Amino acid sequence: MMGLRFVLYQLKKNPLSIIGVAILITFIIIAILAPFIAPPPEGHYDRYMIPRDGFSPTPQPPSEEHIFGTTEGQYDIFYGVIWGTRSAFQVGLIVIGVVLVIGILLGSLSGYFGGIIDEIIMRITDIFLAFPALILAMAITVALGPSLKSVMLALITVSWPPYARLIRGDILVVREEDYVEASRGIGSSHLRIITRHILPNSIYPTLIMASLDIGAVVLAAAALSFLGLGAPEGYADWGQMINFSRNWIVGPPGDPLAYWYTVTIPGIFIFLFVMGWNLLGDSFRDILDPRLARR
Amino acid sequence: MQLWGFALEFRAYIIRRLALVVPVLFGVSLLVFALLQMFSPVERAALYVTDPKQFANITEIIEKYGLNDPLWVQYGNWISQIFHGNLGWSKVVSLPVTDAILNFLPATLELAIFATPLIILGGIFLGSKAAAHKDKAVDHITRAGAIMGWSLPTFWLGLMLLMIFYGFFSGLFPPERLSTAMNIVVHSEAFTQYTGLHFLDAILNGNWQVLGDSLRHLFLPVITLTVVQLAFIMRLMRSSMLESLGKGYILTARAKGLDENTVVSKHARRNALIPVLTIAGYIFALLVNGVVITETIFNYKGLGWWAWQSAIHLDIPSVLAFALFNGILFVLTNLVVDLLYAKIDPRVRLGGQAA
Amino acid sequence: MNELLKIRGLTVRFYTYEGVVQALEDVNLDINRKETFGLVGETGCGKTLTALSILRLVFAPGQIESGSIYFNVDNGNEPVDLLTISEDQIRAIRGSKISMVFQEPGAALNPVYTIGDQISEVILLHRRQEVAQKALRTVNKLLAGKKGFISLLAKPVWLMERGLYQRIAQNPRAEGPRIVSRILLVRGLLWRLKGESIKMTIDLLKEVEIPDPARVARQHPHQLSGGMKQRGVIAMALACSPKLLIADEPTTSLDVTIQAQILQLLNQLKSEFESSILYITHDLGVAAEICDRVGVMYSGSLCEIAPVDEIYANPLHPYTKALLAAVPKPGVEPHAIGGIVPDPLALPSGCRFHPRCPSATEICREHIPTMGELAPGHFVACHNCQGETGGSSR
Repeated sequence: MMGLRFVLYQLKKNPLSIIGVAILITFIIIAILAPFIAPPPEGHYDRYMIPRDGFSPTPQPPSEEHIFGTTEGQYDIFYGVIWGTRSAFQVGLIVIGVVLVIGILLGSLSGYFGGIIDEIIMRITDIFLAFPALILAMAITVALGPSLKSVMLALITVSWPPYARLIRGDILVVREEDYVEASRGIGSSHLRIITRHILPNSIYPTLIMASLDIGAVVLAAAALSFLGLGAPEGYADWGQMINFSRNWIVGPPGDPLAYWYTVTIPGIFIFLFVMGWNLLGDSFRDILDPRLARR
Repeated sequence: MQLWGFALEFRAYIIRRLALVVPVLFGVSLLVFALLQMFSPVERAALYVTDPKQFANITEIIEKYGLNDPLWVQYGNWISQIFHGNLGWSKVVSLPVTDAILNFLPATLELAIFATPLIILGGIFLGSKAAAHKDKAVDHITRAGAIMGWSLPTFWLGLMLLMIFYGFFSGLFPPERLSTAMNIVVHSEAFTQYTGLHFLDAILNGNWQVLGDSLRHLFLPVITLTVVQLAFIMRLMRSSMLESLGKGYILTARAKGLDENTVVSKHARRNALIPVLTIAGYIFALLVNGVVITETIFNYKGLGWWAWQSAIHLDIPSVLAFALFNGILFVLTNLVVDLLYAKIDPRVRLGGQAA
Repeated sequence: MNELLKIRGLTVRFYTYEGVVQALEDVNLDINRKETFGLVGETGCGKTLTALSILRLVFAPGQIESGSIYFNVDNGNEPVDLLTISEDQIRAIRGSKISMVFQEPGAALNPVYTIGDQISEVILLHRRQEVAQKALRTVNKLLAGKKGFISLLAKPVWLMERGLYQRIAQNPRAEGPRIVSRILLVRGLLWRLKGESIKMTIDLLKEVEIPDPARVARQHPHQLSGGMKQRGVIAMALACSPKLLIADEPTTSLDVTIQAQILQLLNQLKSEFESSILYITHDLGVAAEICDRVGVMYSGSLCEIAPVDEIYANPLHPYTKALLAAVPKPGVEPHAIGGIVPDPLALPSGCRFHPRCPSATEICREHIPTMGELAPGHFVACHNCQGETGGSSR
């Protein structure tokens, strides 16, 4: 196992990973402080619903009152992107959390017991992996009825198979180690062997992969929201906010970039959020890749 | 394994690999069928409607196809309908789903024909450049570019490109497939649609105006599709190349007196391509994902656009047919990739490992 | 001047995360013409690195800090310093004047190319002129041959081919043919070069006693056994009759019976090709069998150099003595060397062997010993030995 100190040293040495960490910390702070940065108006029933300032279809440019401007339907962009940070973390963490539980459960069953259980679980993963992920997620969302919950369920359904496979593979390796044999020799129960001996030794790479997949999950959720299959209208969600801007890409004659803020601002939030995870992920991959080990 | 004493031959490998396809395809159909079961019989009846007039007597259809029957009977009916080419009725375009797929396929193919070589060749070229100059400026720039490209939401990138190249440079690269005028030309008597691929038809008809217009409309969607996935291949190629460059045969090649260029492009790259090839199937999946979003943004009427329209109109048969279609295509793509892989890397078929 | 290669003060360092590793420190050694020099030492003591330094192939984070390696390219001419000549010059030497056989034949061969491709590559690179002359002869024969309908059609092609081969035969780096070789389809005009070089490859494979060489030339490395692969690698190294052949533990990964065959082959080829061999091994038994002189290396420095009989009969350096005592012999209990190989990041002061040396004294802890010639041709770097034989240089 690579020393934690070495990992930290490599992270510190790589300027890209520092940028990644900085971006993510900023987003965490935004998410935590959302009620203070963009306080919901008095008597607002749901904090995740973006307050509206009128119903005019034409977006309004940034002003004192709406510092990032408003979208069509007068949703405040600033409020939307700030609270959208919370939505993004929610979607990312919930989906990855559930995917991990399913993946670990099925993966360890498959890897530890092998035989018919392994065969069945692996064939099921084959089937899920036989679809382009976003297409399957789209079909599932439609089948469940478009909503944020459906999007999350759909993303969970299409994301668990690679995790189950990864954990299974790791467990197949660890299972043969001497200390597991020894534990079996003194009559430990299956559950004890899995939780005490196998998982702690095989879960490390999985956890890292999972944490880095948060960016990808948020991106996929935003795409589905953009396609109009996600959050209800007015929900603070980056993908949907970009969907709001679709009709306002080109401004009136003579001022083609008049509505730039409707698409640019929410887009930059998604982009930075995903990039933060990817920057971190890329450095981790380089560090943990044994083929490119300590040089 | 013992049954096949000669299992280490290529032919045996093909047979084994083909045998794997059948259960997966069966599973794919089961999954789509399971999703179908989330709907009421009335909604499901839409699958068997091949003409809007039939909607009047929906109960008859439910009765006829036994939509209240036990599941396995229904599955049997459903699959036999599929084998007869009957995938249901697409509300969005008022056509049978099969016809809709065939109608929209050429537009999407057109995108793929331009994007795929760009993605693959560009990714391989940039990835090996970065690896050959590890930790130099080229590497840092391409790497930062790759991470940024990979983090770009496709839909946002597309809209930004539209804002700049359609809005700011008024109408330089417009959305949709063809301008209105050219669309009329294409659908006129004088213009023969040999393939449905506008750029190819234009060349075959010798109509350079249509060709130019078609290419102008293709530009932005192709760029949008390419950027994100180019980044993916580039990253993969880089790490694969780095691994290859650390191998013993690279030292041998250098000790032979070969120049660095030959070492990289002849000895390292060929080996580094092997792992890239194994994920070629995954590139296909990414391409399909990207196509739905790209076509939606650019209002480019291809399969992806149709799938999106069907999805937001909750047109179940169309969405599921699209998923099934892509599932089957994906399985077959992976099959071809695996066979190619075995052909290129002589060790695979001898190692006898199915992917 | 009998020396082919003279290494003087070679120092190589590795700059790693943990710190600077002094991988080679002031290495001095000579290799004479037509001699086999054995470089012996434990794993990680710097034998392979010495070899890579000769070819200037030390890879990052390693760096050649100082020293020079004089190599007598042509008889009589001034020797060149391999460490200061241009990249082009060293490339012209690699694979032709100095070539190397690696420890793992499986790793040294590129899995996606055939054996024939990989060997002919060297021939095409360094013996281009010769290959072109052979091709030229074939084309000339065709041109002078019977006149018929087919030859009438092919004649313009043959003439073009002749022109190209003539140009290469005059100057292997001529621009014209090089441009042609880069253009698709047109480069087909040079196909005879490949054909001729494959023929020469097959002859080489015959030379290293590979059965059915024509078939082996068409095979990929994974289709061959370890011994066959190593023969292929040796053929590749000998393709240009090198002045110096570096063999880096060429038999370590092979079966014992194959080992003996390879050693015999190397001995035989050495006299045939009139090459010198730098033979790297950790096995003193193998060194005794094949080498004329032996250098013993410990932790990045040479501690003893002597003719092979001398070193076995009269080892002077305590490390050499310990190594010889550790070789298992029937009926004699082998002695393990006490202590462990020093951490390359924290090398001991003074003589690097002193913590493990039974006869270490104060001076060993403080001063690095220098090489002294204690008997004719017998060099030792040890503070204590110098007095023992009396022929001290101090």
